[in-house]
This record gives sequence, structure tokens and C-alpha cells, in this order.
Amino acid sequence: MDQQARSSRIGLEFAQEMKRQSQRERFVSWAPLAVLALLVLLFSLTAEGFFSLKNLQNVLNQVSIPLVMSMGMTFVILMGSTDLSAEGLGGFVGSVTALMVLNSKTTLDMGFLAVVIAMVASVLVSALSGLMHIKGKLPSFMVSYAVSNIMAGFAVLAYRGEPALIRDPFFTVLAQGDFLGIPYLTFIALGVFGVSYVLQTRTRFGSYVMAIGDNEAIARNIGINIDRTKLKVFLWLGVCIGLVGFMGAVRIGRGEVAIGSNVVFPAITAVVVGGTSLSGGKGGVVHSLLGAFIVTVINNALVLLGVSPYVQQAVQGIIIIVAVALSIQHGKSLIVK
Amino acid sequence: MERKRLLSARGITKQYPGTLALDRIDLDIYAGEVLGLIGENGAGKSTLMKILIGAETASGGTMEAHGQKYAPRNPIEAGRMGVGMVFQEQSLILNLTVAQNIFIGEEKPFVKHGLVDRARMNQSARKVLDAMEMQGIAPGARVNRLDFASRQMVEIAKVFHAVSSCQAEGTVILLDEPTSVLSEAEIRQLFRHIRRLCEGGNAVLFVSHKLDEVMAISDRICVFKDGCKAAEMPNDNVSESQLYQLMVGRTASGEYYQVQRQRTPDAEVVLELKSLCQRGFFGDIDLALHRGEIIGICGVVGSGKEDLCAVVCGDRNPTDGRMVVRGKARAFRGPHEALRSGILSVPRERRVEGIISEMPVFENICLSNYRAVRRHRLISTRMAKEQARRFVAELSIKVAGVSQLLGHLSGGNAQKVVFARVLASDADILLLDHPTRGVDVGAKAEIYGIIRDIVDRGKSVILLADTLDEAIGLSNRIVVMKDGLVTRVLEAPSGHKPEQLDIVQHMM
Amino acid sequence: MKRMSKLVALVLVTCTLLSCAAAAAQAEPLTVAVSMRSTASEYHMQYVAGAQAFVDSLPAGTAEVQILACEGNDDKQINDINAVIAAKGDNMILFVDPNNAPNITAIAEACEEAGVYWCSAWNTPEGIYPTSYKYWVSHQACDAVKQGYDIAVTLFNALPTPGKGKICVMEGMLANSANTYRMQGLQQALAEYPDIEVLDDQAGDWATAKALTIAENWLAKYDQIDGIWCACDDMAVGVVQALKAKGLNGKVPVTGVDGTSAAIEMVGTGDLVCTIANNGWLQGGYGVAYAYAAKTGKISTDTMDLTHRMFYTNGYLVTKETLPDYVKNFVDSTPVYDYNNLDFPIAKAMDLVK
Repeated sequence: MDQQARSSRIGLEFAQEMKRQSQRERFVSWAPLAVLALLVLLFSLTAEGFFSLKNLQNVLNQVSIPLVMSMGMTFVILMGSTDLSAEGLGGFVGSVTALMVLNSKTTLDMGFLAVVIAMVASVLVSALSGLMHIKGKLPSFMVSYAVSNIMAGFAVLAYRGEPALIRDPFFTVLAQGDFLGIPYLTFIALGVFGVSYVLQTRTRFGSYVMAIGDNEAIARNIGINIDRTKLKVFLWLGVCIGLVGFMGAVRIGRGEVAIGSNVVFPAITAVVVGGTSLSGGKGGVVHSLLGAFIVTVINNALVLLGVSPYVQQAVQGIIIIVAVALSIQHGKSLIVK
Repeated sequence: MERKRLLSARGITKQYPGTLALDRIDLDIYAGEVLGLIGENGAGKSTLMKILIGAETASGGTMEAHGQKYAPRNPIEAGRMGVGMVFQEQSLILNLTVAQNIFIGEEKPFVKHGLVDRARMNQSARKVLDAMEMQGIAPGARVNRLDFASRQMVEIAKVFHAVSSCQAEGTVILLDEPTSVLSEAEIRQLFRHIRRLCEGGNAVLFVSHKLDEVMAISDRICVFKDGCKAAEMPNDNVSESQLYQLMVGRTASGEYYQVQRQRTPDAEVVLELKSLCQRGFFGDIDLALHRGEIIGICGVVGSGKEDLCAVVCGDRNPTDGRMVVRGKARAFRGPHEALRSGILSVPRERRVEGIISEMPVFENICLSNYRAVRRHRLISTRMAKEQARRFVAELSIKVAGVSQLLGHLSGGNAQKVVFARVLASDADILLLDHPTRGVDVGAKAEIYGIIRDIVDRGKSVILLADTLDEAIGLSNRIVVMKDGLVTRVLEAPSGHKPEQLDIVQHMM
Repeated sequence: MKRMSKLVALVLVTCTLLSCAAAAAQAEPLTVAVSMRSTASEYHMQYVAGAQAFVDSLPAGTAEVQILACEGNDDKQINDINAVIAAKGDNMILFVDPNNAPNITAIAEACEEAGVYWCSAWNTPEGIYPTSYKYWVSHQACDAVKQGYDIAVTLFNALPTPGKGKICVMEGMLANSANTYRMQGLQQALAEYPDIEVLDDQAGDWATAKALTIAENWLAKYDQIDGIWCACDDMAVGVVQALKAKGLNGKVPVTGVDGTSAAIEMVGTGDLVCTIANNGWLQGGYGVAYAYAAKTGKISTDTMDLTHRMFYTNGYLVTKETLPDYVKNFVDSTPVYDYNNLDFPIAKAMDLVK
């Protein structure tokens, strides 16, 4: 019958729409890689010295801190939260690490133990900040901002206005040495990426974070302990922030609170440009790896291009917007189901 | 032969403020059977499902599962007693694999040194999927890579696995509209799975709007009507028309809907849809709405009526066809443009879409039209309050004052405020989406009066009614939709109202 | 070490004093407020030390120092100052290093109204000068053009071929007046040395990490960099760090300005060719000394000449040669000045047209 045929046509069209939507999603998930490839191609053609071994090593070196930071941030964002505490906490870790290793200010020389202590402190503070968010039901954005300020205050108090210079040769080598032309710090960062990848794909924790970000109600119905999973996210964030602070101090050779500045938003940008949705549940650490490279490459190329510093920030902003627009799914999906 | 009873309910009652959603329901589900559950929208099917799975608690009555007392407080507890449900909205985590989804929350057996053994997990998932004859689905595939039918299958596999691992001797799976996103071939496949499940000593409660499907799969059929169980019968020798008859709800008197006030529409056509179409949702809609007319659109969930309204009020774009408003072809980029053409939608989810709870009554009323309360291009609070007082008196809205926050009003009064906003706007084509949902009986009658007032002022209404009865009582004409198409248009002049049965036949 | 412990003591003392002030106000000593960017900055803490040295030169119990750190926030600076004025009335004097020049106007109005004598350093908007106010005693700055010029000339002469070569320029924060003036000085020097070629010019925003990244990028891009003109010490630390990774530190001369302890040390090791030590002790000490003198009636803003109202102070160009002298006077000991001699800090009068 005609009626029958027409209604089954609509059913067919519906199925086609669905298919198209999921195809588009699949396509979009490759976008960050395409954006990165596009940027590399573009800059190779335009920026003198961009496509060279020397600059590749350079980019690998510079990606290390954004990469580590974005690894911690990815889980936070996957879960649908935001955390700004790295600015102060990273500065704090860097500052106290510098004060505890062989340095220009104190008589301490704790070597690697100093790093461990600072890392533990970072994890504890991050856990505390997480608990205030989870148990106290305070917005993570605000809590972490406050914690950031507190820790920045403690950091300044710790070195009292005059940052300590790191004199421990071990850390100097760590900052400047390389293996096969790739700096040690980059290996640390890649290690963190590896651990993050395992955490995301091979542990219950990873699945639960994804579930919470996708739909907290479902996660609760499945029987996931949401609070505990969230706390674990903040513990991991604490580890990453600790490493960022430590690596920052090692890189510039001294412990000052400014180590933490300018790490948070590049990392958030990396995560978002990589295609992880700010509302959670979509994306992952591989995306953020690409994102971290995108952010670093943009930064690197603008200097190589010799873009006037007066317009550089604006250009950077525009490129970021374009990159985000290209790599995240936009438009509301037709079918929410 | 005595069949094993897996789940039984006695005297289940659910009282919502203002409405009795379920009235002393008795239900038995036996091992090995598919029990079909049918009923009109709002007949109480979903409420019963929610109670069975523990998402809601009954106001009265008792339940037993496997001969033991059964009073689940949440779906997890229900699962432990061997009852699982596939929700209408899928609950899969899209960014995880099929295997991860099936075993989420239950990963313990696969964890070694803190890491999940994905290979072993995939193997187990393979077994679960194979057991359900879902060979085509790879356990390692990410769910967002699957089509919707496969997702639905995974969902069923997941629920079945979770439930059967807790309760080995016969489980009950509740399926709520499982076929709404599936193609015919996929539906047949789904039915095969359901059959296999039942042959294994399990039971399925199958809820659907699609009568043919229910008749195809069920062993027994249970008909719900107005919160009561209207009939329960074995699925042999049942005819569709018999079922239609049973589903048709009670009829209120014409007085209730103030039929005597029904006016004859003017000849002027205010809105005309010409072969309007949205790919995949509805097609070939031709409709002319006259000045002063109420058109009721009837259809089950998924018939395309909501999608049609979304297109008319500018929320979505049609893929084909034309909309002509007062003689001019229009295309809207959003509801704000539709409003400029005089089309205003009053949404169903009042608390979410219709009102602003944190705003006082008077501000809510002037939201859709500031022109009436503006002086020197600024909003005059005094004028807005005056306007609000007028409407409060006119619609007898019970408020402490026009500055009361809307969130503090009862459902009926909040809905009246929404209507006041509609009246205050210049819109003359109104889309009323379930205008009496969640409103108590007294307020309903008043709202019907308001709707009559609205058309008396020369406005026109497209109505998505809460019940068939309401649609019949209020409308001048009734448009019946099924699977995205208009299947019937019925005239409903006062005095010659069509029967519910006429409509239901073309709906399902 | 000694200086550090003094700073520690200062912080402690300030805290105790603050709590005492809250507990009970006995015959209230004069509050000497020092408003600056951050307690995290060594240089800004020199202001405090200088102010403290001045307070110490007065009879005990006459005055006490209060630190107002605005942490880079314009509003906070103004709010803090207003709060202290509200609490102390005119029983205070003030020394301000404005976070941004426009802050000056608001501070000037507040002090004028409350009758608080005050002095400023570094930034003031064009046309807003102490001479228009009764209570704004003096404004001082280091001659940033001269700084930029001095370090440029030192750098040019330290190049492998003196006076000839390719350099990179690390600016501070764009549109920041200190940066603008130091860049002017660089331009003057470049005009005098035609054989110097500027390869690249980037803004490091006064930040170590950013300067490090930029320098790394330069080193990846250019095969030959003869020298790096760097607008401040913090950035110079980053630049040197980048050079170290390539084994180029000490081979590529780098400049700095500010005289942070890190920079002084690097001048010693040869990583840095020069820095200019701003003398925070002198600036802070005389800043409050001028205000105190006006407050106590020793001088009057009605009769003071232009030179005393607006003047430049001298920095100290630290190079390998001058280092021993600098260490002796500023590192191993804290400079103490005769605060009665108000002519001492003046290097030259400010040129108002600029």
C-alpha cells in the first residue's frame, strides 16, 4: 500500500540520518590529527627553519610541560570539571623543590628525596582541593582558583621574594641533557602520557571517569562510586601538577612561583583543541597529546615566522579559535538519543 | 502444568499529586513468556515499569520476585533480584568499548595488578554476545562506532548479563519501546533474541506503542487504560480492533471541555503547511489552520507530531515543503523569528522550557512581549505589574502577589501564568504541547476555559493533547499521525465528536 | 645570607606589628606604608628594607612599616591604600610603586583628600605630576632610556667582534613603559653602532619561562647569534638556561636589567655580560624620607624646586669589572644612607616634556 511504502521510507531516512550522524562523529574524531598535520604543513612551507631536525628536537623539548599538564587536565575535563590550581600549586612545588635540593638559598641537599616530598605535597593539596569540590559540593573552578592563590602565597613565603637557584648537577643535567637528541624531560612527559594512556584504557578508573563524564546518573545507577573516582582524578592531577612544577623549576634552573603561570590555560587549550569536550565524556589522552603538540607548534612557529610580538598574541588567539572550531563537534545533533 | 512465576505484583498503586497514575495493578510474569504491555500515552505503562525496576516507589501494593518479597530501591537492587530494564534512553557510555560497557561496574574478575585484562574481558564479552547470537558485534569496538540497532542490542546484552549473573534461575527483562530506533530487519533480529531469552527460562516484559509488534512477539497481552489494567489475555485469536476497543479510555462529558463554547472557525487561513517534510521524522504534511480553530494532533511517541511542532515553531528546519503564514511563505531561523510571525510554542516541560522559576510572576508574563510594558524604550516595572494584575484577576491565578517567584506556584497556577504570557504576546498561532500535564482536575477545567477564551479572541491553536479525550473534546479538527505521516483527518464539530476508537485505529 | 635573614625578620616583624595594631592601639606610631607589586619580588622587597632602614634611623617607636602588596592587581592597590587611609587617617605616609601608571591619579586624589604625604616611583601618566598636588611630595624613577642604552653599549662591545654582529632582542611586556623606554635606549645605541644587525625581536613578558621558550626557538632557527639584548634579569635567566642546553652560555653575551641576585651571580660566572642594579634601598628609603620630611614640616611642597619633586636616581651597572665593588657595597652589606641629605639620591632632574 502507498501509505505503507511512504512510512517505511521515513523509517529508512531516519536510519540514514543516524548513520550520517555517527559517520560525522567518526570523521570529527580524526580532526585534531588533521589540524596538526595542516599546521605542520603550513608552517613547513612558511616558517624558515620549522621543518628541521633541530626544531623537531626543540618542539619535543617545549611540548614536555604542556603535555604533562594536559594529561592531568584531561581526566578532570573528561569528568566535566575544570581545575585551575596548577598555577599556584605548580609554582609551589617548583619553589620548594628548588629550596630542598642543593641550591643557592638553603643548606639543604636532599637530592631526589626533595622531588618525592614536593610531589607528595602536591598530591595532598590536590586531593584536599578535590575533596572540597566533591564533598563540599563547591564548584571545582572556584575551589581550585582559591587553592591556587593559597599555594602561590605559600610558595612566595617559602622563598621570601628571592628564588633559589638549583645547583644540584643531577638536575642541571636533567634539564639540559638529551638522549638521541631528545631531551630527558620529554621522556618524562612521554612516560606520563604512557601512564595516562594505560589509566584511561586499561583500568576501571578510566572507564568510570568516562562514564561519569558521559552521564553521572547512569554511572550512579551502574553502581560506580562516583566520589571515590573523582578523588582519584584529583590525585592524578596532583601527580601531574607536581611533575609540572618540578620540570618547570628544572627547566629554568630556579624555583619561583611564576613556574605555574601560563601552564593552566595552554593545557586546557590543548585538551579542548584535541577534541575532548568541556562537558565531559568525550575524547581522551591521545586527543590531548595531539592538542599539546598543536599548542606547542603554534607557539614555536609564530616565533620562527618572526611575527611581530605586537600582533603575535592576537594571531595565536585566532589560530586557536580556528583549531578548536575545526576539531570539536559543533551544531546540535539531530538525535539526542 | 504450573508455570514458574518469576515476578508478581499485587495492588500496585501510584499516586502523583493530582493524578492517580496506577490504580491497584495486579500483574504476573511467568518464566518463558513474553508479556506485551500496551496502552495509550499516560495509561500508566511507564510508571509501572519504573516501579518494577526500582526507579520509583509505589504508593501502595506489594511485589514478589522468585517467591521472595521484592521492593527494590534502585535498579541495582532490582538487578540483584533478577530484574533488569533496557531504558528508552540508552545508557551506554559512548566512548567505551562494547566489552567495557557490558562489564562496567563488574570489572573485578578481569583486574590483574590493578590493570584490566582487556583481552580476557573481550573474550567474556564475546561469550555473552554469542550467547545472544550477536556475532556481528565486536566486543572491542567502541560504542560510538556502532549503529543504533547494534547499540540497542549491546544494551540488551548488558542488562541481560548483569541480571543473569546475579540471579541464575530465570530473569525478567523489561524492554521499554525497544524498537523505536530500529529498522524492520533489526526488529526481526531483536525478536529472535527475545525468543531465545525466553526459551532459556527467562521472561520479557515488552512495552510498545506498535500494536503489530506486540501482537507478533507476545505470549500474553496486557492492556492498560487510565492507570488500570483493562484486560489481560493470551495472544491467540485477538484482533487489533479488539485491542483498540480495550485501550480507549474513559470519556468525560462534553461539558468538561466546554464543547458548547466551541466556535466555528473563520474562513481565513492563518497557517498553511504544504507538503512539509523533515527527513527521517515526518513527510508530506498538508495542513491548513484557520483563524479561531483548534487542531488536535494525535499520535504515539515517535509518530512525528513533536517533530512537526518543533519545525512549525522554528526550533528545527524542514528539509522540504513550505510554511505559509497569513499568505506569506516563511522560513524561520529560530523560535524568535517564528514569534515575530506570530507563532508561539507553549512547551510541555514547563519547569524546564516554559517558565523562569527565579523570576517573579509579572516578569514572566511580559517575557514574550515587552512592547506593552515599555516606556521611553525602557521596561516599566509599574506597567508590567499592572498588566500582571490584570491577568491574575482575569485568569484567577492564585498568587500571593505579582512579585511572587514563579517557582513557588503550584503546577496549575504556573501553567496559567504561562498562558498569561501567551495572551500578553502578540502571537496568534499557538502551539500548545500538553497544556494540562501535571495539572490537577480543577485547574484543568480552568485551563480549558482559557483555551476557549484564546480562540474567541481570534487566535488559532495547534494542540498536542494529554489524552485522546482531551483532543477530541477541545478540537475542531483532529489530525492523526503515524510513523511520520498523516493517516487521518477527522472533523470534530460540537455535537458530532468522533469516537476515540476512530483515532486509535489510525494511530497504532 | 645576612640580607635574607633580615628580610625574614622583616616579614615576621610586620606580621607581629599588624596583629599588635589590631589588638590595642597605644600612642599610635606613624604608619609608613609601602605599596608595590609583590612580596615575591626581591627588588620590591628592597623598597621595604629601605623604608625600614629609614624608620630605624628615627627614634624607636616613632614609625612602623606596613607592606601593601597588590600582586599585580590595579584595583587591589587602590583599595589597599584606601583601607589604610581609612584606618590611620593622616597618621601615615606612603611610598608607591604604581602597578600601572593610571593608578597614580586615584592614589593622588585619595591622599590629597586625606592629607597623606606620599611619594611615588617609576610610572606616572603624562601630565600628572606632583607639582599639581600639595601632598604628593616627589616622584622618582631610574632613567630607563639610559638603562637600555647602557646595557646595549656594554653588549655591543662584548661581542666577539666588538661593535659588529647579529643580535636578538628580548623585550619585556609590550606597551609597558619601562619596556618602551629601555627599547628607546636600545634604539639610540643601535643608531650609534650601524654594524649591529637585529635578527629578531620578541616579547618575553618579563617571564623566565617564556623567555626560555623564545630563546630555544631562536636557537633552533638561527645558526649564528652573536648576542642577546634582554630587557630584564628574570628573562635573562631563561635565555641563559636555553644557551646552557646548547653549551653556548658564556659564549653568547646576554644582558639584563634589575640586578637580581641571580643576575649578579651570572655576571660573576660570565653567563651574563652585565645587569643594572636598581637601587631599591635608595628608592624606598628616600621615598619615605621625602614624605616624612614634608609631614614633619622640614620641607614644604610650596617651596620645593622642580628637581626635588621629580628626579632620576642612579642604577649600578654591574659588569665583570665592577662586580667586586658592587658585591662589597650591596650584597655583603646593606647600603645605609643619610636620610637627612635629601639631595643625595638625585642623579638628574626629570625632563617633563618626555
